[in-house]
Amino acid sequence: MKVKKVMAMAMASAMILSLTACGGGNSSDDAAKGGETQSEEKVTVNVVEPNKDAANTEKTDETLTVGLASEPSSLYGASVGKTENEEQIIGNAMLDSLVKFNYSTNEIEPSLATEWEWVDDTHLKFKLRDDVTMSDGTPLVADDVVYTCNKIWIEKNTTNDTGKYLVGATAEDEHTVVIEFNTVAPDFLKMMSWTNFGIVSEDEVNAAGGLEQISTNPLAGSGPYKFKEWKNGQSVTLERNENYWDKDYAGYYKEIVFTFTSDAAAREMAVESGDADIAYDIPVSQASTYAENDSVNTTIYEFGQTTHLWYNQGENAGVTKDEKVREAIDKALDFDAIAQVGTAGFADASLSYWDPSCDYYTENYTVEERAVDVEGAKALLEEAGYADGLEVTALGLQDITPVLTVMQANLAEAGITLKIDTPDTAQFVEGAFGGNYDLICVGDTPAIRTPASVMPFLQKLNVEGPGMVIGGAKWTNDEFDSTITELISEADTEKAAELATTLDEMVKDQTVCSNLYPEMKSSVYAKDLKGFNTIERGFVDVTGFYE
Amino acid sequence: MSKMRTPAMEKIEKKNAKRKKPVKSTPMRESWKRFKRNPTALIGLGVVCILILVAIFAPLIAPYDYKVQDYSAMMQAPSSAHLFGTDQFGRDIFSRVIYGTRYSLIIALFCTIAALFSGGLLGIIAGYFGGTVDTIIMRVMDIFQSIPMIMMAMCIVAVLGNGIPQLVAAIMFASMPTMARNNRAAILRVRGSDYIESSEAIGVSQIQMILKHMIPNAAGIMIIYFVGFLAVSIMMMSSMSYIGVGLTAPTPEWGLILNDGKAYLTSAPYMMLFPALMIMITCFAFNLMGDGLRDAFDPKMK
Amino acid sequence: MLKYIVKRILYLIPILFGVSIIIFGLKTFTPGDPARQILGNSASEAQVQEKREELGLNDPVPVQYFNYVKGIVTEGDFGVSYRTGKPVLEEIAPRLLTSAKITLGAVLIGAVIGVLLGIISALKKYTWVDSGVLVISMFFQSVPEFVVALVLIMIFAVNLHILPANGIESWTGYIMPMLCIGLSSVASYTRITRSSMLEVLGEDYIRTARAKGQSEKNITYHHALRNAMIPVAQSVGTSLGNTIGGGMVLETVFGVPGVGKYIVDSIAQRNYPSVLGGALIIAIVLTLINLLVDVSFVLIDPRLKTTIISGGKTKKKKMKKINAAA
Repeated sequence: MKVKKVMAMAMASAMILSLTACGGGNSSDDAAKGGETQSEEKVTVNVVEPNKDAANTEKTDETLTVGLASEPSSLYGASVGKTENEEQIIGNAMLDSLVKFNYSTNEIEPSLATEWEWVDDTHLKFKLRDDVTMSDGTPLVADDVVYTCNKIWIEKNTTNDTGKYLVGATAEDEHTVVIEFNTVAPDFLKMMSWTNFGIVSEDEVNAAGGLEQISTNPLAGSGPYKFKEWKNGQSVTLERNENYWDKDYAGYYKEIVFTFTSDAAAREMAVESGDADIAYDIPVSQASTYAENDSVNTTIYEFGQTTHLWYNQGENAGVTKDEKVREAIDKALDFDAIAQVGTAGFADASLSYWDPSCDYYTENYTVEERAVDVEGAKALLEEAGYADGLEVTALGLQDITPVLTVMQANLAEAGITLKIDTPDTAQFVEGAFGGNYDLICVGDTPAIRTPASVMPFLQKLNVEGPGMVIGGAKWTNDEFDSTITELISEADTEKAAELATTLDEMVKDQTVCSNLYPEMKSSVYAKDLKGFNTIERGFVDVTGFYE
Repeated sequence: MSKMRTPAMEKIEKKNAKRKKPVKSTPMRESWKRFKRNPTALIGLGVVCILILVAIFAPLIAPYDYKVQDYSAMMQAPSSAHLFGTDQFGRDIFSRVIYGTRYSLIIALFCTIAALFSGGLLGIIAGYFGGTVDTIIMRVMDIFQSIPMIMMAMCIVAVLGNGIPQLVAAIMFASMPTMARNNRAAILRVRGSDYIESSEAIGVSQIQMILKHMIPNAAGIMIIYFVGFLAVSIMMMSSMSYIGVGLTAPTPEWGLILNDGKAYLTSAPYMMLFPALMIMITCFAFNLMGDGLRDAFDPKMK
Repeated sequence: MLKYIVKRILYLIPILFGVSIIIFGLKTFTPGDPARQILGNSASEAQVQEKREELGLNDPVPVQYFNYVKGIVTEGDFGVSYRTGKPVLEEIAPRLLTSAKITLGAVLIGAVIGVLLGIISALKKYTWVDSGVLVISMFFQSVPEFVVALVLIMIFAVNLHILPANGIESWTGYIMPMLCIGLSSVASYTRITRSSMLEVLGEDYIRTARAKGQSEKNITYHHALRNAMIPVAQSVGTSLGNTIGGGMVLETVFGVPGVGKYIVDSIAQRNYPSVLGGALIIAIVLTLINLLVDVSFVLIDPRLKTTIISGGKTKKKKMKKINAAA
């Protein structure tokens, strides 16, 4: 705290000083330097790991204020065929799914459903609790699940992953429901724990204004919090569901208010000043600097997503069609430096295509294999006929710029000129679809084995469903294809691990992509808060917090 | 002041000659005299000169290459090895800021020249010909001016993509209406003066009139806008870098360096402080100089 | 007078057409498919095409433009936001109000400080006080606004705990954004006040007043200041408009739901109805504010009637000078 005050004052006074000293050019810089020479070695004592706090059953009349990065366009994305980060963070407090996935134990736990079983490869049967009341006070019945599945997940999500693999749901009796999938993937059960698969009832939806209105007036679901108010552009307020069926996980705070500040530094400062309790989605590089700050808690954690650098081998591909060029780039890259910059030093370079959080993860590279080999790269380039160097373009979203900047420096050593292309999201998407790149940096979450998440950046030939591959290699072959399909449909973890290793070997042999690092997420929250838990894709569970 | 030719005045004339301004025009000399008496303006000019020298000799001043990364020296606080510290890639911030002088000044200069040429030309044509031409041009400029400057710039970057030429084009388009307006006003003021009317009476051709009489006489006012706009375009670049459009890594433009450092405001304020200081000093100098020029060329102008 | 007002309002029509044509033109050349943005990455090409058809994006551009204009003219319908599905007007109105509040406060802060400094430097012209005032007023004009904003948050929110770091839940949330924008405009007000004061002080009637033996204080405040206020007030009018639509950077830092940030976000999302609607509404507001400023001048000081209403040329010239200074 004290150090920070000094810093702030140093900065402010330096500015004033420079005002008077502006005639002398840079002379004021000396004055400013005095205040900052104390910067010490990076201390990470304050970094809190997720899922370490015990649950809480008490309640308070206080309000929890959460600073989000942006305002979602809806609060119940499944009803309008969307999945947005902020919408899922907020929606998770209002909706319960059939099952719950515990991210600290990697176990599926009961939620609205007490039991489940695979009837056959594509039919999953759930037995529902009989003591659950929805937000309007009516009890949960199997028909509610059927309605949510058929009318919302499937009908409203024809263009996204929520409805992609579902065929339909049927009620067997008042508390038994069967959901049918179009693809064989045992991990669909895990998928059912996601916020998008929250259950609502038809009556609730109609009371809230029908399917058209439910996305902005989401008074539905059986979750620990209910929708109260959405002040457009300013805040979303939820209030505690006093009749929540799960007494062990009832909300601690009376109200949760979400505010929206897109500047991460400003979001963090709101926590420090006491205006907010939590600041979500702080870039990890930034969060690592808050770890030194005693006045807030910082949490930095992996969330099962690994960033890969894909080499375009599709129709539009240029030099990267050449395996030697791909290998040369892979050799020239300094993976440690990339991981250092990409994760602020909180994770090491990946030693597998797969994320370490996968239950079928095995290391497939040695640290030595990942070392920089500029000479090797140059030799390969010479063999490929690019002795005089070559130019490649790397496409990425704006937040990946630091990583691409490292790559640019690495590749320059081997005589490769890297052009960084980080346009806005809309242009990135267009470029990624069109294959207008040599290299593309994207992350995927292979922790759950569904067609959408196992090597989603390889063009798939046999996998059903709409959609195209965004980014990636723009290429595949039959061997890849059948192995991926097998991996998705394999129920046995050990066999899955073997298949995963096979795939990893194939990636390595042909240098389909370079594995960079496991991505990190981070949040900053008030010192006195406990109960940090995560839900899917590493979002922080707002309902878990207590003092 | 006496009318004797002092060495200082010789220098001024040389300078004027360099700027391709008519040496003999008395208003210019008068203006310089007024400018010289203004201490803040001289300070501004001095700083601008220093900055230009820094930009020219950047490779000699900067101890490191601005894009060389050193992973063994990341995010170091200012020290004797790294005067302004290092950034998250271990790049020397001092070197980046020094090279940044070059990039920022040149880009700002291009933006200003582009704006002055496009907008200025329109303004001069409108102001000189008057009548329908004037009405049409100025009505179109009214339309452009109804779109906020930075919004216009963003729309154009969205169309053209990121990069230095694109950024220059964006800032040029965004500032065209203001430039046109200002230059038109300058021409109108000159146009009203007696000698223009008399040369018109003698029958000097229009082009000649614009080139030989109007522009030189309106030059003073144009220079004011020119200098003022240099500061404006540096500020605009930093705003655009903040929003994440315009330039791409590793261009060491101050706005971009500043924005890189923003993430480390609390733990490593020096990463933000030094580029911010440079932007401040530069804009300050341009503004002071512009203000001095304003007083010097046109004491009555607001 | 009424005729003049009607004329000025009618003048809005070509401006709105022009603005919409410019934005429409830019939109046509902007890469990035809005339909893809709406549907997300998993949607198939066929679905995207279907959406494009539904939004009318596959129509020839003139047809799209005609339909858009028709919607506005016949029903006052500015379209529906691609992102939220809500009417654009409904989304913009509260944001415009927020931006307007901040702008009003900012202009007040800027003008009050600027005029004070301007008076001081005019009275103490060519002294060190004059230079000092110049330097102070220019300080905030020379620092990127988000740097000032972050430093302000650090001081007033994090260290002193007297203002909220972001958001506008309470009125205190408006203070820092107002301060930030206001301070950055101090320099231009100072400059305008100073030079118009100097000009007025040199005029005949002031000399007459002096000769008559009026006190210097009286001359300054009754004659000089009053007359010097006209260009200042006119400049307030012009900067009101520019600040309303151009505040996206500060709106981002302070988490303020303003119209500037709304439009920038909409550009990034290729949410064209919002971009178009926002641009048109800002153009309308700008024109109306300028009209209001001009009309209120005439009401306050009938002598100006001739300058503003009849001789468009004289007025424009005056405005131009002011624009130049701002």
